[in-house]
Amino acid sequence: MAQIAFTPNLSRHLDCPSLAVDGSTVAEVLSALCAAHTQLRSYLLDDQDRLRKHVTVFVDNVQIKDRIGLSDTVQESSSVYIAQALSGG
Amino acid sequence: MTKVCWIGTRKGLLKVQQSEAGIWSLSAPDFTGEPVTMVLPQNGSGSMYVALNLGHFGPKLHRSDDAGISWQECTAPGFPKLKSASDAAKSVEIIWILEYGADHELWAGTVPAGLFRSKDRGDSWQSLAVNLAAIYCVKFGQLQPV
Repeated sequence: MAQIAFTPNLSRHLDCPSLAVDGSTVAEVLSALCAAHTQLRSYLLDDQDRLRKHVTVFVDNVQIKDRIGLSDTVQESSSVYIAQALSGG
Repeated sequence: MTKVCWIGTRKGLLKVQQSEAGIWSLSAPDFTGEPVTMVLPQNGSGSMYVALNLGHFGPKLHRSDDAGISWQECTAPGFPKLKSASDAAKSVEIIWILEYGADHELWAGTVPAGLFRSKDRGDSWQSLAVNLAAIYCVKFGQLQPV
């Protein structure tokens, strides 16, 4: 199972303990995660189930490329880190 | 009756209340540090609502049933999910306006432009129109015969 960890900034709003979930893609992992913590969905995904503009996901320390379909591969032993993406100048 | 003024700011929700002696005082803020985009005070239903724009984590809606002493998050309005998402598909970024309708219905106007109605105090929403120009105001009234 992939091990999930969250930015501490998210814990200002929600209880986000690290946990392990099944899934072979980022979409499957986030789906399993949001099924266990329903309130989390609206914090990570927008109305179209895309990754929110200022949220990002790292799988084994590599930032995912598909922010719309969330098709990046996740291994059984992967670490998935969910962070807020900083932007601006 | 105590007079109260709610102020939504970029850094939280402020409450200014008038004492019986007529002196206005500022209470400790709620939602400290968060942009408050809309406040809807209590009506006959006893509930009040606050809309937040959390920036990284999207728009959020909170409800209070005790005049702002405690808050619980309810569901923010959202556009219907399209069969195939693309960059262009709409997603609510800001809850711009909240208003009560008949029978304590709750209405919301958003950015990008969308009009939504809730019949269960913000627990679920119906999207009524998605191809609108920007909505700045939603108000209900009655037309007087001329």
